[in-house]
Amino acid sequence: MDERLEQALAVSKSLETHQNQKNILHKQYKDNLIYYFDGHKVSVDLSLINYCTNSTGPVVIVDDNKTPVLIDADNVIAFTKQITAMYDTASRKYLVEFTKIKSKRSVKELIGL
Amino acid sequence: MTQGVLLFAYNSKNMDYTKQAIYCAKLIKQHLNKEVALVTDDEAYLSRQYPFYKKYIDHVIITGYEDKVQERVYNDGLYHSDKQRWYNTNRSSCFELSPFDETIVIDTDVLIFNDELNRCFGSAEDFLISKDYNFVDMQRDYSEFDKVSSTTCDMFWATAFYFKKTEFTSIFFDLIEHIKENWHFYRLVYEIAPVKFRNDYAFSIAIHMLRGMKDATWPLRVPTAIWVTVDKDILHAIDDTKLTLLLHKDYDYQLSAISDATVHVMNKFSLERCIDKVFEDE
Repeated sequence: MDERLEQALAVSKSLETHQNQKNILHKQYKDNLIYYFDGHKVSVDLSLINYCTNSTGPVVIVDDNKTPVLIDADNVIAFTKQITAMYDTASRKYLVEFTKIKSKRSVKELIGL
Repeated sequence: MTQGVLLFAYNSKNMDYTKQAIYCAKLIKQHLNKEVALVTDDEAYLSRQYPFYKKYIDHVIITGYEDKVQERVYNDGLYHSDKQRWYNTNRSSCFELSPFDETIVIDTDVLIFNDELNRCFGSAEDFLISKDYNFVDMQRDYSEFDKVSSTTCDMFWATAFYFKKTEFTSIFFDLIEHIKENWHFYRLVYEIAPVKFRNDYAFSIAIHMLRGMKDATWPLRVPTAIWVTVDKDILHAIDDTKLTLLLHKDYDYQLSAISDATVHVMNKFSLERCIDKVFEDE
């Protein structure tokens, strides 16, 4: 095989491996943004955090299973704190893990063999 | 309310499901810290081959397997496969067999590396099941697994489910039993080409029937992401919380790793090789 083609194919394989690891991390990040409580499943994002932060009274949200949930006024602050902390932890973990693989040049380093 | 995990293990000629079950139970103890019950047909083998099993398994329930000879092809990566007998058809008996009020049932080849399955316990729902699988090879299209067949109902996976002992779940498991007894009728109605009975199909059909043959939000999903590596992939190594894998491509493999996850390893040959290494320290 032409050496140039062989080298290009090797690089392509390595990039494919990188991309798959990135996709796995991103999927795990999205899963880590799901808040489970009292049988409810809520995907947390910045708009939900913003909405809860700015609410002065009870909050109604519709969870991922299309079930409405009432967060009463006494619990809104605690709920907002929890989802914010979860968002923060998940995002930081994603950053750390992503940074680890970003700098890895070989497949061996990437997988940690 | 007692809570625990139920495993089924019936060995075939070259497949040691008992070994897988003990390793699975070890991970359950480590990450979920729950009691484990094992349904099997051969206690003597368990004690003789794995004298340390009591460290991880709290209840052994002896039942014979059903006298239905089923065979399936097991792949060990791209270049080796073996046709073997398969006896795991009595999963619908979990309602009667489970010693727990709240039970998670998982396949013995599901490796648990986080505590997320504990979210099932105390759920308001009577029944939760896995549906949306994440394939470790995220670049491959596995949409063929979304449906029981291209023209019929959604596919649910009996690989991991949770139930409480209630009247409702009793009806559900009785329906699965009925589907199993009339398997050839239901497989034709649901346009399932393979002749052999599969728990996943029976569960999916029962769910479809119970929700009035329509789409519905019931049943809710098991509250954790379940990752899958297919049997043409190879499990290379198991570390404390990380799996190293070779993902199959058309004629080749691609290295991959996944950590802090619940992973269904379908290549049982490579799983058993990795477990052998872990058990050297037992």
